[in-house]
Amino acid sequence: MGSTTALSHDYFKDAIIGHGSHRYKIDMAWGELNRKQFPVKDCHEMVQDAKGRIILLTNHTQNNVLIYDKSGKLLDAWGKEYPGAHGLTLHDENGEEFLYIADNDRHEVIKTTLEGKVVQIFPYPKETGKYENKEAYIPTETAIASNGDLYVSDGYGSQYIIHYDSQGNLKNIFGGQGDEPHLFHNAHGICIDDRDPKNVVVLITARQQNKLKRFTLEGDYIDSIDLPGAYICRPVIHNKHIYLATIWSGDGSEGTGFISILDENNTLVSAPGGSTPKYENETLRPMHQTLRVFRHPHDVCVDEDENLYVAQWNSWGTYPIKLYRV
Amino acid sequence: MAYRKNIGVAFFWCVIFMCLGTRVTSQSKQVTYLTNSSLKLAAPIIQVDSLLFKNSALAKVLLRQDGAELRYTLDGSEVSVGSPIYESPLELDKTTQLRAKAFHPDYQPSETISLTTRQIQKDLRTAEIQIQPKPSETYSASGAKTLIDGQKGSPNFRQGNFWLGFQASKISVALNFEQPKEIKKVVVSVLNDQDSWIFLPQKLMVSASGKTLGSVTLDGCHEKQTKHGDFLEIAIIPDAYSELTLKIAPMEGIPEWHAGKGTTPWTFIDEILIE
Repeated sequence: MGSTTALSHDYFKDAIIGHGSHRYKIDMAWGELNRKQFPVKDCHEMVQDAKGRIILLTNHTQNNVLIYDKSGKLLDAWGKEYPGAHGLTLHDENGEEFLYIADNDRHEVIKTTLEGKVVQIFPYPKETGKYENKEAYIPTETAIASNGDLYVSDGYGSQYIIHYDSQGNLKNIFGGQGDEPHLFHNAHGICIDDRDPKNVVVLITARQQNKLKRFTLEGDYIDSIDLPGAYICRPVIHNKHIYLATIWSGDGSEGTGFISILDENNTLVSAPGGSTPKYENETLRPMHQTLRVFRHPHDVCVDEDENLYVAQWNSWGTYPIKLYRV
Repeated sequence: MAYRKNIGVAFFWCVIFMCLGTRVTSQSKQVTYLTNSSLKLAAPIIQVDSLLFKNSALAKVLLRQDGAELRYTLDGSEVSVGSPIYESPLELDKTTQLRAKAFHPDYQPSETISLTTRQIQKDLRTAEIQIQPKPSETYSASGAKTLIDGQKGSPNFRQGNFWLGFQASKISVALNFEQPKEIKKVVVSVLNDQDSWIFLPQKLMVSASGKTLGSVTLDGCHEKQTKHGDFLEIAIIPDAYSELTLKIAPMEGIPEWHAGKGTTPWTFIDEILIE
């Protein structure tokens, strides 16, 4: 009875987390920097640019943006004017890359160059008629379609999705707060799902509802992917998979969270740090954290080697973790 | 001589710069992977069909991690590698503190998780109950009777009609029984959800006919605690009582470390029991 709990031969081996095809070794210290020189508060989101650099957004106004190479070496740091730095999306516009920063405190979205020069500001969407003041608008994320259209999710505000053309003119507004399928509680993250080029859709997380909702580019609700026990932050598409940092798990307790990985059929196939995914009658068994690797993962960035970079919220100012795919 | 010395100095600096240069370009960080030995299991989850029960409650313990072994105790003692292994749901037919912990050959054991399921010993549904002041309109459930209906809420206080919420410096609950009841303990089921500005009360006192029968002071109510429900027990002088008054005193103000510092905390109660 006690024999199975004795130390195994694997006790001193490198830990491997995840399930099935998506398993990883862990480098907890990947993003560590001199805390006085380059401090972070919440590490909110990460993206990779065309040069392969990993760009981190934090709400610490000493350096809102920290740019690393893939080994974790710091290459650049900028940004002092984004106190509510939250959402970070990179978009290539005819060979030049731009960042879209969704700022919770400024109640607006700011488009910058990779060097931090402000190109455009998208203020609160007064023209929609849904907002009485800018405080009702707390954007959390942006997504840019191939035609340049911009979608903003107001995940901490009024739960609308605001759709602009590439010039910043309002085209549409959909979503809003509520329990109905096309409405949201915490429309936290958004992305364009172009895995099927003939059927490009918008994916939006309803984090509090543990659901990933699918909409047409015109804002019509299609369906929902249920991920019970997974408080998913933002969907990230890489090849045929969707990766989602999962900030809380189980009953939403403090200190929980894991990473969710869905395959091309939108089935949860791996949950590094979480319970073994299993479907019973096509319904996912409720998920929970099983290993204390992560503390409130907020975003995941996938590089060309399919290694993952994990940024965490409210985790005592810790720097991003890297997962190496095995 | 001076010329040769300068050449020597220049050569020296060249070597230094070359070394520095090499160091900068090869500065990629060394990867140290986390080992199994420094990885810790998360605490198992305990699910019960009812935290309050008349006959019995069914408790499940789970952690869906390959190779993890779940062990438990039912007497409040610490869970060790020698404790029984959890294999199937546990039927609990008396007030029980269930403690559980996960073990794994490769990883560090989890923290211990603990949950108390409580048997209702005396049905209070026919008692008269009055509360001063009234609960907040938003969190008034089905009124004062909610506290003696034998129904317990989950820590998700917005769900269902279970919780009464107060933002008051003192709460007084008067209970009148149809017939005198033998009582030695009063149990108050409360909520701690500090993110929602809900704290455990600081002091609870039970009296009858103006005489204090027992009280309890919670020293830990100022401290940071994760969201959980709690049963607070007040032992009283055992006797037969036809009426009891429970006085609940929240902290004077929310502690300094919290965003709501200085303001009156919320107090949430979903049930009062006597034993």
